[in-house]
Amino acid sequence: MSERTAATERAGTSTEDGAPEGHPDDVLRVRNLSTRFFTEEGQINAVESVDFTVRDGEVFGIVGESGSGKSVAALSLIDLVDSPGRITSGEVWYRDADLADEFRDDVPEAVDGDLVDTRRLPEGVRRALRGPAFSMVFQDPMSSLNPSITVGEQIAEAVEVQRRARANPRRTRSRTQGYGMGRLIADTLLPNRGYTSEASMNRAIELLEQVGIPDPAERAHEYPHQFSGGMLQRAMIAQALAGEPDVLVADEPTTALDVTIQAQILNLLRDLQEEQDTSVVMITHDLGVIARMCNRVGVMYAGQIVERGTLSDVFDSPVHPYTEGLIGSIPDLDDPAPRLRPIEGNVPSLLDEEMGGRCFFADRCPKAMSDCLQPIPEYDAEPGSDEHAVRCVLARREHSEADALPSDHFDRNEEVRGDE
Amino acid sequence: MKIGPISISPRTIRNLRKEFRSSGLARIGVVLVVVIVLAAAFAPMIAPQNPRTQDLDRAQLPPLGFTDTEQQTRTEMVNGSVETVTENVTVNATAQHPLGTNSLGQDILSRVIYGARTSLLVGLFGTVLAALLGVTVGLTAGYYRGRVDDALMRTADVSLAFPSLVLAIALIGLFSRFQADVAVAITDPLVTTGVAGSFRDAVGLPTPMPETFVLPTVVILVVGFVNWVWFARIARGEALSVREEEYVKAARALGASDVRIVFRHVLPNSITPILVLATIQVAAIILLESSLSFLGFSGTTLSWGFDIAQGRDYLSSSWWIATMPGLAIVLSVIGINLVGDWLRDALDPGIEGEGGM
Repeated sequence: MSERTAATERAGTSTEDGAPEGHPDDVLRVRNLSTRFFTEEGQINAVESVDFTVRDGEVFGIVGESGSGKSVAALSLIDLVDSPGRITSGEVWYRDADLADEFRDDVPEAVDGDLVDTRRLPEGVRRALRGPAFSMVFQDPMSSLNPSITVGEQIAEAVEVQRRARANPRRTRSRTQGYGMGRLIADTLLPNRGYTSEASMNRAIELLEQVGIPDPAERAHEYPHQFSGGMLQRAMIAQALAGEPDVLVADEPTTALDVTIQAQILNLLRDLQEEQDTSVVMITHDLGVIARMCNRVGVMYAGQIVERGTLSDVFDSPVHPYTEGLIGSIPDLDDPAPRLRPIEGNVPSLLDEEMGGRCFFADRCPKAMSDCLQPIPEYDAEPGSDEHAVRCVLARREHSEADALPSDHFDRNEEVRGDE
Repeated sequence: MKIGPISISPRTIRNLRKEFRSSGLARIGVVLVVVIVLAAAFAPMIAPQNPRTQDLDRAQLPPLGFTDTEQQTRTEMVNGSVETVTENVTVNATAQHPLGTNSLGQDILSRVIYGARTSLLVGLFGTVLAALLGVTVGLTAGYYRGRVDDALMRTADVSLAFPSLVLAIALIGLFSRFQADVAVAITDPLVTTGVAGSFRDAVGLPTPMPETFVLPTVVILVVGFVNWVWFARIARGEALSVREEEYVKAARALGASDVRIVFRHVLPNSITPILVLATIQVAAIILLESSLSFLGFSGTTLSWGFDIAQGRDYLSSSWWIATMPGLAIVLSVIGINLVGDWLRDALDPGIEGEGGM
């Protein structure tokens, strides 16, 4: 089943009347998501009309260079974008039948079948979704755990929060209950009063064991600085799994680790994902990780997803010259002779006034044509599966030398960019 | 070791011990503070006299080791006519009043010991109040940033614009309007249970000691309101940096509420500079309290500042009346500052060296 009507211009598609069409297995449908940062230098379009879907029990990869907006896209997903950034538009449809029933009458526009648009839910509910619905593993395990609390207790706390939330379905309030100023003073004055119960601590130890930490019962009482980087990343994953999330967002989970540990962590994620049927959104700049882990892939460039499809769509029959460039810059073990072909130039600054209404990759693209100087919608791509979509005119026409932009076009036309 | 949500690692304890051993100043500070705290706690047992007993016959006695000459004028019958005779009389110190007596014949040592109670209690409660207020405001401002931050910190700046003594006096005026009792008398458990009495009998000190102790509550409130700004500034700065840590983001990604993040993650990781500031603030508040009671705003008469004010009139004839409580202030402030330096050096290894006060 195609999730698109053929070659429509997706960026402008309005979905006011409910969830967009998609695959029945979709647990997450992100539509037209834009996140902007309003800084002193100007408006930065970190995420620009991003569309993708994540299905039950799959690993969806987002790959791109540094500064392409991958991490901001991930944070936008779980609504953690911090001032001066703001999600300016878009929908994040999440499948949760109970939540859909709860809000069907109150907020009808946020509900469609089993899906709810988390962006239209009240803030308290959105927070309640973090943990049991979405959870995140961060890039740097060394700084992602609070140095003043033992590892076990931090995980137990995450367990406890979910436990209380589940015991009391008035989701929003139950979490803050028993955690205020009064409680803090009581905890300070009375010894041996912890927030976490023994059951949560035991669950935390179980989780630590599950992610492969030896002697979990003992290590649970150690502080983060007593753990190695790989161990900490395991602990982070354990913490992220505490709420039994439906979607686990892993933001470059292996970047800070050395290669052998990287492989271990990736295997761990893969195993856990298969065991628990969690969906994973894997964000990385490492095509190797993508190739190894993911079922479907989105390639991000300058805040847009420029090409997406199944793993083989993107790796075996890329259409977008950027994807080709990424793949071309990986050394080929069978034929190590030729020089690597890097993509010339740098990722654009993403400053709104410098972006212009054109294909953002055109200034680095070896196949740029005059057609590229207008906004490019997402097209169905011919090769590969019917999920293969690409933001490139080459999906519609062949490259022709006649229309090619002169190589110095963007140097000369800094001023007039995009208004041809 | 664990105190509430804040745990003290063995490494911290090791650092404290190491710094204590290597720094002579730290040891002096700790000794001074311990002596003052013990004196204040056991005042009814160790004070040689009741600090409130007046004895005009024994007024202005000098401290031990000093003698004082006093001009005495008396009328005498000399050869049938009445004459006024002026002669110099030597006044000797007595062991009953080791630091002498003031103009009312009250024992200065006892008053200094009892004054330590006032100073320490005002210093401690005032600091706790200032810290609670300031840290709450500062963490809120630093965590939420933006307009909340601007509103709270500009308020803090406004209260900084007043000299602290002026602000304190204004606040005392304000509070006194709403509260008739500027001070609360609390009973002294050591005296009422008879512990102090039997101890004094055994040692041979005169017994009736004051059963109540006056706590200047308004002064505590006021010094808290005057000094919260420093805590707010430090806490805000720490919150600004800690909120950007990945573990705060991770906690949010796991669904933690703002209250939880602030108290569980931000506060424990900003506590070190706040603790160090608190020790220094105790000293600053003791000074402020002394200034206030010197000016007559304290609500208690057992206070170092009050005694200094009283002794000021006799500086030319009986220097010890003002000097002894003054020394007590100097020693306690130095002691507390040295302890503060010790804590700072031990808890914050980033700052090297002895550092000033």
